[in-house]
Amino acid sequence: MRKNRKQMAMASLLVCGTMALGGGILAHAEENYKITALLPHTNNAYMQTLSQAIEDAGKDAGVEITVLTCDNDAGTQLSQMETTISQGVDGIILDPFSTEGIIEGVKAANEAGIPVVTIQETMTSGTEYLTGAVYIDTVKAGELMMEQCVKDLGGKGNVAIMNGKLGEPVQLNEHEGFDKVLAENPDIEVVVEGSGDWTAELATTVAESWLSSGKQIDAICSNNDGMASGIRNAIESAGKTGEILLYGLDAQQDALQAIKDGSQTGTIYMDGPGEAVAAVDALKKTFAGETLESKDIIIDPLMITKENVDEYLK
Amino acid sequence: MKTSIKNSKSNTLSKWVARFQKISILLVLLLIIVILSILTPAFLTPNNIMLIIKQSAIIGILAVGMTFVIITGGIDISVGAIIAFSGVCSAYFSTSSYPDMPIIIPFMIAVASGALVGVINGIGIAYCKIPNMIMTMCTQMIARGFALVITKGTPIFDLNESYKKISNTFFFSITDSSGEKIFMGIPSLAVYFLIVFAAGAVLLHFTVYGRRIFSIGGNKEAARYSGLKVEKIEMSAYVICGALAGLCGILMASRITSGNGTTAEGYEMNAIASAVIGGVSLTGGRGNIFGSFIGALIIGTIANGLDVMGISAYYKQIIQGGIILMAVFFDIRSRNRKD
Repeated sequence: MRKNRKQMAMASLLVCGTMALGGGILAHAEENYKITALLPHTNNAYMQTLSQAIEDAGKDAGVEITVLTCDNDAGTQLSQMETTISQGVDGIILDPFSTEGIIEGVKAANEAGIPVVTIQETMTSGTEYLTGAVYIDTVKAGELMMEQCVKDLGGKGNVAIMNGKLGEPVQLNEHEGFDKVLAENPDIEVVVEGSGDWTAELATTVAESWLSSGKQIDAICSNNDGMASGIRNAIESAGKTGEILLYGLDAQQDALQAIKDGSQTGTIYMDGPGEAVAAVDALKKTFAGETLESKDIIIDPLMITKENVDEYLK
Repeated sequence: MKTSIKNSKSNTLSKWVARFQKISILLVLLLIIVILSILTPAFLTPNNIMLIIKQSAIIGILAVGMTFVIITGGIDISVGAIIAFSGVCSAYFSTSSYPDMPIIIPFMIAVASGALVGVINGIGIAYCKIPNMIMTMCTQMIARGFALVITKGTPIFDLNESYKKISNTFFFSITDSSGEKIFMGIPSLAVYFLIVFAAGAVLLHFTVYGRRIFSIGGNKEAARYSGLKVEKIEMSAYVICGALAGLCGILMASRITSGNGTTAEGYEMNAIASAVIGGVSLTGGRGNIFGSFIGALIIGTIANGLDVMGISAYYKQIIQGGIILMAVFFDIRSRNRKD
């Protein structure tokens, strides 16, 4: 029994220790308004920038921000939404992992009188429960990328498409943008398509197989810069740097550097920090009792090539 | 502690009661609850407790099925993919194009599609002697692939109202005079969870079938010599596990109001962790459903508590890993001493 008690004490010590670690992280200044931001993940540079931008935007606006991530799981995000609502925050910034999957949560927030502003993704239905929706037009981003690609190829050539995780809204939207441009340019042929699940590792493997398949590929359009960085490696290993045009999206610093160096052709700037500021701003207006001019707050994507890369390269 | 087929019925009963009293894991759960409620006053509220049970339900139901499989000495890593597959299958026939579909039909589709994968797992493992990890890894990929093929990558949404209500209903909610909800009510997911737990506990601990599950996990050869149809029993555990994962499929699809082929990735690990936290031995032959039930609640409680405190995802993983490790360590130490 004595030993048992000792173990009990040890166990509680362990728990207390880990919890205290958590408690320490929590200790931040008390502010008037509390906003919780729900993000799918912070596993890549883009999402890390976004998460940081939300916290900065909150600091500038004088509101307390908590960022929670759900590890790319629709069920977990719904749980976090429920938990956040029951904790009685003043507002929620939501980047829905699954736009259909989160509807019940948004509905519940609406019932509890908590305003929800989405960022990045928009809801496919249930928009009536939202206070606002900030987004970059990703269909437009797809169009921009393919238009640039068509222009660079002179209207004729073989294109490969590296998709993000299949079925995710951004992937589908970008593809819709690609398809719009491709429909107008019959001489551009999509010779191969694959998915790198948004990650450089997988994109490298897929691109390597493409390049060793013997197919003629003139350009590769990637759904994000993370995957483009993997494709860059594959192109380099195959000794085809500069021969194959490569486009990404997100305007990550490494991609911008690569554009400057010539190992990537273009990328698209998605103004994540701009979204964060707009979302916090929209919520603050709501707290003050103002109504938003429009629920849709659209931020335009911008094409970056060698010509204007210096403006974005830090 | 290994239960053998020699035990009489009453003996098993008394052992179950004894085990019930010895469950140290319950203390761990209470300890975690106490600490979390000291750290955040917002944690221990009736609404939040209901949320925790709701949020633990799907992992908890998976853990019940997983307990059967692990006690036979097996493992099933296909359950997360089964959730996606069966959720998609049942959602397919429950869109608003089928507004009058009796709710029992999608339930049957979900459970049957999950059980089907379970049958395939069972045949492969019990009869074809394919290693369980490999077999269920293959069905995991196949089931997930089918889920994505059926949906063509795009989630099935636009589900009919009765389907949406499956996981999004509350009983006995209390509203005050101004119309504000003071008690959210008992979530339907919690009800399914408790029913499955009770049924699983009866089946595993109070029936002849349950004793056979233990005996083949304890010593397969001994069980075979004593005349048990080992393959049949082993296979049945995978079917139970698959069918329960199928049930989770419809619950998940209703919860996230869409049949999504990418959902529930990695849930198998949480289900396995729940069972192991609850004292189910990975070598088979030992464990009980109650432990797995508490194990699932521990995982749910930690996740909820860390969200309530707003802890960043990176630290969250460290803390979750640390607490689970601590819980298992504590449990194993106390068990070793008893043995």
